[in-house]
Amino acid sequence: MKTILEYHDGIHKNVPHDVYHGRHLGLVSKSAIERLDRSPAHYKTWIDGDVSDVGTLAQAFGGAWHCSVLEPERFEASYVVEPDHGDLRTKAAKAARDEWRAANGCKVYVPEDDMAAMRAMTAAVRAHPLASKMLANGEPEVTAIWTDEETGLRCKTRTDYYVESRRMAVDLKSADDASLPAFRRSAANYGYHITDALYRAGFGAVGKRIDHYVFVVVEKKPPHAVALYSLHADDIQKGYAHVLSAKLKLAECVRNDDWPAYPVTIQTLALPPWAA
Amino acid sequence: MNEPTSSALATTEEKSISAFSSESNFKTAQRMANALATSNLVPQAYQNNIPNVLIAIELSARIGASVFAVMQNLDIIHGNPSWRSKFLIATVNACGRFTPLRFRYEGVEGTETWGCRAVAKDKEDGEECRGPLVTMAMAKSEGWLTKNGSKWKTMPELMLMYRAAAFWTRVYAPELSLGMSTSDEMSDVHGASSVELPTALVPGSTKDLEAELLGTPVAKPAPVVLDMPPIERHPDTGEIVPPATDAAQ
Repeated sequence: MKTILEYHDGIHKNVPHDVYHGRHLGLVSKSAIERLDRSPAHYKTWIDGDVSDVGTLAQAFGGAWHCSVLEPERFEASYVVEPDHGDLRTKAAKAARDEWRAANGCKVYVPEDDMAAMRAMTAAVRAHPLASKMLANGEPEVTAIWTDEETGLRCKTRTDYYVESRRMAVDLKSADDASLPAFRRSAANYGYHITDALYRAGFGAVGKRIDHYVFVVVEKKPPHAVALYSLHADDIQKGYAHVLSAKLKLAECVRNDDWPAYPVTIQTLALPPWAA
Repeated sequence: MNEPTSSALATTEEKSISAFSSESNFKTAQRMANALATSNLVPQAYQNNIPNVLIAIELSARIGASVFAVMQNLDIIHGNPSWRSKFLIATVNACGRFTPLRFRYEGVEGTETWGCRAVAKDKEDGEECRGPLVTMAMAKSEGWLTKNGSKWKTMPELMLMYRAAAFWTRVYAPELSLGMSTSDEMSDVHGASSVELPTALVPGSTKDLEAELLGTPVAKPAPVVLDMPPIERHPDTGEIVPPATDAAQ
């Protein structure tokens, strides 16, 4: 199986999940920037680490739900509700589980509650007057791969849904609270402005364009309210500057094969604004 | 016929309007600003922003450049207007008082001794005007190298030239920069957060997207219409003729 680095610069559909998420030294991505932001040493450790990390339960839920919304046929073929087998500390429950899984083949087993929530969330998106139209006439999981002109580093992004005719990318998010104040906090905590800028830059680098980058946020619990957000140009500008800075830092680390952690000097600590 | 040079593109032979010098000039400039602000060819900071365009008109009059060139080359960084370095160099080259800026390198490339100074000759007396030397050691000690997204690491030669030109202008022709810094200097002070978002990455209108998705007509704001007479210029001098007032009629 070829690696992501063997794909040529351009737009790619159907890049296998494992291939896309393969970690390669010097490959710029949102995940790489997150690690690099902490320190080059953390980035290098992540690169050298176990690629088969299963991720968190929330990530597993998010991945399954994405599939439910964007690729319903694959979802029905790949995911199945697993019944409650009872206390899995008992031999009987374990045997029941193993027997049931053997009968259901290589599927992804989803608890009944989660499946019900996913179906309700998907229905909420389909019922939303704008979100339903955004997720039409496009392609799911579209990957852009390009070579950064300034540093020569390869870069990658993958948008949840891309509608070329509208020059629009959709980022699906599941959330406990999709209200504006809560999502604003999430955007700051998870660096969504960096994601936005990286996606725009990536698609632009391969001759495509993203005029609209819209977050479709759906709450996990009833009433499964849906909210749509797009970032202000000033924040995208900050994200773009962050991407440029990260690329330069990564290029320097690669060139020197030097992966420092935190500064060795004593740093003066200032309390955050909310505590000062 | 000589081909136009880059410096020729940056200037205008027409008389520019000093927007704030008189009431009639202000009204004329306001009309021009209104027209320019509705164009989608001007940078976003000026679209539908008549006050910003008025300032650009005033700056263009001060330095003798076209309004469009000013708008294309004036960045607002952390609230401060800043010239792009290439534009500042073009303005110096086109001002007519000096020969075009040239750059002389000193020291050893790749070391901290490597430096650059801008030079030009005063056309009136032929005296050479030597700008201050900018070196990599200076860039290091001033902290320019370590700012987020610093271009000094990746393109030091260009940054040496740009900074040498900025220093030269500050010493020999400060009236051309109007005392403003270059965008590169501002980036060195504030870090890469001052990096301009490329035009191709500027987001589209969410209202337009909503209207497109819902199939409803896009509600465009009505253009500002000012009830003013057309601009008249003197046929010989090209100067703006102030509109006639009621009292004069």
